[in-house]
Amino acid sequence: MRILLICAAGMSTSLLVEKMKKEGEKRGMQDLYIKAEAIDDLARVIDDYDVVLLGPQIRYKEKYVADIAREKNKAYRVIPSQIYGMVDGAKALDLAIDAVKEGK
Amino acid sequence: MEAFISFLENHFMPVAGRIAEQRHLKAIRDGVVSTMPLLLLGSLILIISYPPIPALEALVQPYVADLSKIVNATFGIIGLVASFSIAYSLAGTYKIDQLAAAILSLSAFLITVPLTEDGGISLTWTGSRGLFVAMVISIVTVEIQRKFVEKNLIIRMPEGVPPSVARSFAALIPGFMSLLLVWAVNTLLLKTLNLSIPEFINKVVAIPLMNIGGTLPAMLLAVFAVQLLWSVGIHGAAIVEGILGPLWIAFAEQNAAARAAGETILPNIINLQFFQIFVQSTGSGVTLPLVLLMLFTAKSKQLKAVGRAALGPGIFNINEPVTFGLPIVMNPIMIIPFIVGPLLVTTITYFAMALNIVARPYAMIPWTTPMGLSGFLTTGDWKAGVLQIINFLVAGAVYYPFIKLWDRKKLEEEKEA
Repeated sequence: MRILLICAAGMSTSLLVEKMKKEGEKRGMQDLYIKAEAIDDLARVIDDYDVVLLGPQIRYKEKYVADIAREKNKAYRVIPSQIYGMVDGAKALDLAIDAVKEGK
Repeated sequence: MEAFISFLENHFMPVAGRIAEQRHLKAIRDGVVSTMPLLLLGSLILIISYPPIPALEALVQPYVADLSKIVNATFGIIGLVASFSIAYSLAGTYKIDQLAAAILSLSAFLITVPLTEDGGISLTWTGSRGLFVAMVISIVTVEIQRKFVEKNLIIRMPEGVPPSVARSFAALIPGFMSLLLVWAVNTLLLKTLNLSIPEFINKVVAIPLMNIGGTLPAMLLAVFAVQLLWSVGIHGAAIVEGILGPLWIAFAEQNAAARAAGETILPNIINLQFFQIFVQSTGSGVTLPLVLLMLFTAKSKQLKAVGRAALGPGIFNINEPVTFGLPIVMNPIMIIPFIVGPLLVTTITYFAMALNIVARPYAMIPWTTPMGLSGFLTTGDWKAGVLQIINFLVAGAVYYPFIKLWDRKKLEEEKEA
């Protein structure tokens, strides 16, 4: 599974990426690829991913993300503040997995 | 408090979001931001040319003239580059040929720029002074081209003609019209007011805008907006910088040009680095002192955990673990110092620079550079690093009573659980 995390500059979400990777290893998940990118790069890179997670601090851009996601037929979710703040890799990973299962 | 927060969520946030997402503002921002690599490179050369350590000055002195070529080709052309890149971004949002639009805008920009006496392109208008000119010219030329494309007033090639050839013909009529119009307006202004478009824009738009934007009240308002947006969990800096960034970059470039000319007291106090390096030191809200307070004085387990998670990123000015983890977001107690602290820091920094106790920032450096070092590098003055530490202590003092209160509340909750 390929997960894309999006925030303003891709800096703070990269913290969460590391935690999610560790959690993935712990669960023995194969073929897990997670990366953080800046929102401005979303349209360029979205094709490479199965699901997009949006940092809560740029949820004012949710519509923009939703439009691109719909166009590209990808699932997306806004990461809840608590998960984001505590840099909770397990819950963020669950969020991505559920999003892929449930679809758009 | 609940009502206030829901007001922010439902009214303030969507409006701020819409302003930041406005098509032309966004194109200007993206276009100006694309000059950033040039600014970073130019700054590096400036720091080398005018080293902050006096002993090194004599060492680089023989090379300064040669190095200034790089400064001219980076800082000296950001207006010119922006005339290209803003048009490129804006054309992208209309889904019209981006490269053609950008090339035309660049050409239109050069039509308006006054030449030197022997017919050369002068660096006077290609740098920061041309930045506002570039914004206006690129928007006007792209809008003209869009009108023509929408009305279908373009030359269509028969099928079988290679796309790149067809594209260049399609750009012909819109391109010709937009260049002609810019030229005509420029000539008219010259004949009537004896001002070229750049001089006119500078007089009527840029200088008044800069006179307002460069004041302490304007900066305080900007900082207040940033903190208020973050208080509801929205990236306030991204939005406010999206609106004011081009202006702040123009101020920064003026300072860099003055520094390159050997001046020591620089023209602008407020610029991009004032905001990024001093006001936003350790993240929006100057939160590193808060992190240390949690780490070393909090009794609540949760706050200690947040302090541990936030320390590393905080050193590099990333503070989402604090804003969302403590949390400050939607937390009526913590929002107060989160807004008051940065306003104090802004005021202190402004007066330290206005009274020339601390040098003013000119070098563009990455915003992730740690506090202390970042102030020193961007100004070339060690006292700027000290100023950041003073700001850090002031913010810490503002946070102290509030985090104590919150810690007690959290501790009670943990005991009950």
